[in-house]
Amino acid sequence: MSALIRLFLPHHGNNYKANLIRSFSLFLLSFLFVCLQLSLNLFLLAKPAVLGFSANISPERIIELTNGERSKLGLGSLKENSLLSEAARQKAADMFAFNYWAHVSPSGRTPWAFFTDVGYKYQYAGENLARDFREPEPIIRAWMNSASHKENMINPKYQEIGVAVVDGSLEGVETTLVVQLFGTPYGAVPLAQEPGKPLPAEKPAVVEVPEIPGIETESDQVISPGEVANKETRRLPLVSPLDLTKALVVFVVGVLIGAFAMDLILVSHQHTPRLSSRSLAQMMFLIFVLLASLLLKQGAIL
Amino acid sequence: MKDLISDIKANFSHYLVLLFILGSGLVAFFYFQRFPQAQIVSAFLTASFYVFWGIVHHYLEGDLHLRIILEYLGVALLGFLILLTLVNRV
Repeated sequence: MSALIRLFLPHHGNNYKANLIRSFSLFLLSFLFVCLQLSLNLFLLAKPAVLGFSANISPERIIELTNGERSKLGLGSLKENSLLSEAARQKAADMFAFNYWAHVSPSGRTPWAFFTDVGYKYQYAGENLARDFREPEPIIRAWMNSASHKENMINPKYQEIGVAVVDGSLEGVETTLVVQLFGTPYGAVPLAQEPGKPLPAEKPAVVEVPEIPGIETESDQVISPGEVANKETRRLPLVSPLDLTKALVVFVVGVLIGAFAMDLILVSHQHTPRLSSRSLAQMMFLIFVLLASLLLKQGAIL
Repeated sequence: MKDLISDIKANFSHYLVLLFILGSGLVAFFYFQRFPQAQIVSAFLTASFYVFWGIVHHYLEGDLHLRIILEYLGVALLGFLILLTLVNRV
């Protein structure tokens, strides 16, 4: 018990300075933190299925949520198309292979090339991208909060959808890419609107492309091997390393702030004269670290 | 608590400068959300300025000592390592 008091509270047994907030302990904590993170990285390499950078996102859930947003506006549900899913998977693979985060590849390859590569003849087409998210709901929220992405999500001209969720290393960072492709097959009849609900105002979709001549696709009957591959690339982790690190940070920084707060109160109360750093300043810096850690934004859309 | 209040009153301008350093660091950290390298630089600069603040503050107070500098360095290093790790994990 006295060891705990000496660790956390200023006491005559520790020369009126809690052992935890002495410079030696702080350097030791830094060292242990680095060791723990290195161990976590090693574990990540050894057991990627247990601790992985993979997000808990499935293409089916993205489609379900997208259709949920459309149904709120009285729009028809988008039907999953295996060719679009394969095109989305190929787009994600291309982004990882050529290390870019953009709609158009550095070599000038447009999103529409992936549609035609898999044999999807489109009348209308669109693409939404997301990266670094771990849950599907924030992705949908981010897309719905962006005018151009929202236009794709609720565009009444689209009838089909394909989604790929693929893990890999992009720009040196392990990440999960979500590629959402929308399309309407060439020659398709427009979807009927749910009665009683008005259509959203039609705006030109950012990635909508004009009609192209071609033969009506039979994509709905095709079972693409990419659909299987797409599912195989997913790994659903039990624990996210980011969440583990954040939990550790909250605990360590929280305990330190508490120790500095106790130091501030007790030393001030007892009028203890001593040579020490300012506990108030130390607390302010730790609160900065805590705020920055907690509010670290995750994910990006394009 | 009287000591604490008198300390804040006596060093109000010092704490205001510290608040400005940390506030600017926080703003920069969020401004560069999509630029991990810039976030790391922001965190490093904030931690460095924090240590510098501590040195200047205690020098002006007349109680600057190596032990004090090490305490500021210890907290700054831990804070920087935490942010560095999190930025790399996001």
